[in-house]
Amino acid sequence: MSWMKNARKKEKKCQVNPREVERDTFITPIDKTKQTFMSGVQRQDLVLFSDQSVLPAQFFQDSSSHNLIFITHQSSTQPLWLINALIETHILGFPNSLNESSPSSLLSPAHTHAVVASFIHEQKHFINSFSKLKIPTNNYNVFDFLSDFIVSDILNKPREKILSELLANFLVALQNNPTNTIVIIEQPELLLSLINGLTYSELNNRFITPLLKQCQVLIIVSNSDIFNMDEYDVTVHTSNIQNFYKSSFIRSMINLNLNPLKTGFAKDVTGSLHVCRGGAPIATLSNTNLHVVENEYLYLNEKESTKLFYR
Amino acid sequence: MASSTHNPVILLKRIVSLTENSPLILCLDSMAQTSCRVIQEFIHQSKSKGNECPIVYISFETVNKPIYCTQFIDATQMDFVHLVRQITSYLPAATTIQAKKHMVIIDSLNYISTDHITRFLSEIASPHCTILATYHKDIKDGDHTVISGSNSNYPDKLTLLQFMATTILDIDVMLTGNHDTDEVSELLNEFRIPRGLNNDIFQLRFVNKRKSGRSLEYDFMVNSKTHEYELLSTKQEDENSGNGLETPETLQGLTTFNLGTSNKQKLAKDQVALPFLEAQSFGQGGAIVYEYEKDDDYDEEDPYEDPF
Repeated sequence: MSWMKNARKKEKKCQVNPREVERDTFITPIDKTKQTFMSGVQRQDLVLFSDQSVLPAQFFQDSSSHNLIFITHQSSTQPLWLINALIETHILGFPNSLNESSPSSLLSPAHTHAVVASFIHEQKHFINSFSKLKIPTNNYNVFDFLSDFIVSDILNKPREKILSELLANFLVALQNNPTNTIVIIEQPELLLSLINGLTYSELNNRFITPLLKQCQVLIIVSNSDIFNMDEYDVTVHTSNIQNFYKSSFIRSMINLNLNPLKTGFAKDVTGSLHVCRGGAPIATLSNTNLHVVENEYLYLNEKESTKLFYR
Repeated sequence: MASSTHNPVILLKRIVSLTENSPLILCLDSMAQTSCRVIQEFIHQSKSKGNECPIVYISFETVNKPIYCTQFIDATQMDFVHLVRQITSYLPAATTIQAKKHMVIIDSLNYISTDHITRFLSEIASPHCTILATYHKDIKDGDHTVISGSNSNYPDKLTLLQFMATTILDIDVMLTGNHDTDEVSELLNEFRIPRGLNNDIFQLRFVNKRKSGRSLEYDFMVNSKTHEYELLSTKQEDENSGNGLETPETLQGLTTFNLGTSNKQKLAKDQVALPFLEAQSFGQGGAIVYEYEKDDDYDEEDPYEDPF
């Protein structure tokens, strides 16, 4: 039995917040209702850059500077709340659903626009979510590359044509909204599986890079579950997908990494958010000292909002 | 020249400031530490030494045109022939006797296929040009297996590049936090990105191939903010320390006696021919040679008498 005790001890050591989990384990259901999640820990605001912002205004000062943000997540840590926070920040000037303290002045929504495209979710998924956040519908476009996508856009078409048509959708949306526009694209790596013979370099050269050149901020959201597979199961195709993630990280200036807890499930923590520097420098017009504030948060998804805590 | 080879820091500074001629400088980087700070270092050092030269930037990955480059070529949509033609149009012809030195920065060689890589570099290379090329180590070379007409023994892209390069700058992260190297590589394999990557201070394994064919290898810690290079240790020293030999540091505090050995003593110790070494040179091994003496009373019929 000593090994069990040791294992338990080890587990406790690794636990993110042992006191919280211990408390959850031993309290009765009646007590539980009285408890508030992470009650003893102070809630934090999301800050990504050294100017205490989530999306600095400097990104939009120069049309010739382009920045890539790379968000990685796993199936158990869905990134919708983070996408919402970024959209809110860009359009409303502040991540209302996330941060408690509000800024003194907000940007006018008339000058900002967001284009969201997903290969994994329907249009409704985002529209419902944005309407809950009270984001004006004029300020965003949602492209659905899930419904009928294979039949209408991929079947019997050469690779170059598929990618150029895909890109054209974005270019139209960007030309119609020449103001400060961010583009969020969810799981473009699926194209590597959907289009026969497509390599990560071709996807970058023909789709991602031209798209990045057209907007000031491009946000790629990817599911990194593929890295959890056994080394021996890695095929040429898997390594092609992994190359896409690695190249995206190298080209990005910030990486937001959503991970589940290593110890598994905890009632008061959904996962952790790592804010890390990417491989590329930040592109801004003025030579400022703007840099990424590397940090690690724990987050808790609730029905209407998300709470962040320092780890 | 002789002094530069004896002082690794000076040699590195000469390479980085383009004072020392090295036609192909290969920057091997990874997700943990990308080459952008090394390239900045080249620009800074060449500027401070007055070796500024026209820079042709060939970009597959970089979208924002760097301010230091003279020509910026977006190679993402170009085929091989057009790309080479455009690059060479910005460079002086190889046959020109006197021409201004040019620098070609390639970001990155991962985007050029293995069957084109040697031709690509040889077409750009000239006596008037220094190529500074980045290659991402952790992006696997996917096209290696599909080269037409090649056999399985054909080397992969990285091996080819390491063979062709005259200087190799292998960049690695300098860990400052709680993680060690194994932990970081394990986390990166799972794509759980730890903090503290892509730092201003990083490690650099510097390999310089001399004209004689000899290659010099040194490890540096580079501070890209202060532009200071600190020699960590040479490979030979690493090998020696890896043998587990006693050093004065490990013996310190254990005793009041001086148990350390000086280099001279170590050399003398190595030269002592030990008796068992002579025995090992016997070659046959295990043979018992018995010579009968005149007083030996040997009975052939007694089995217990057999000395063997």
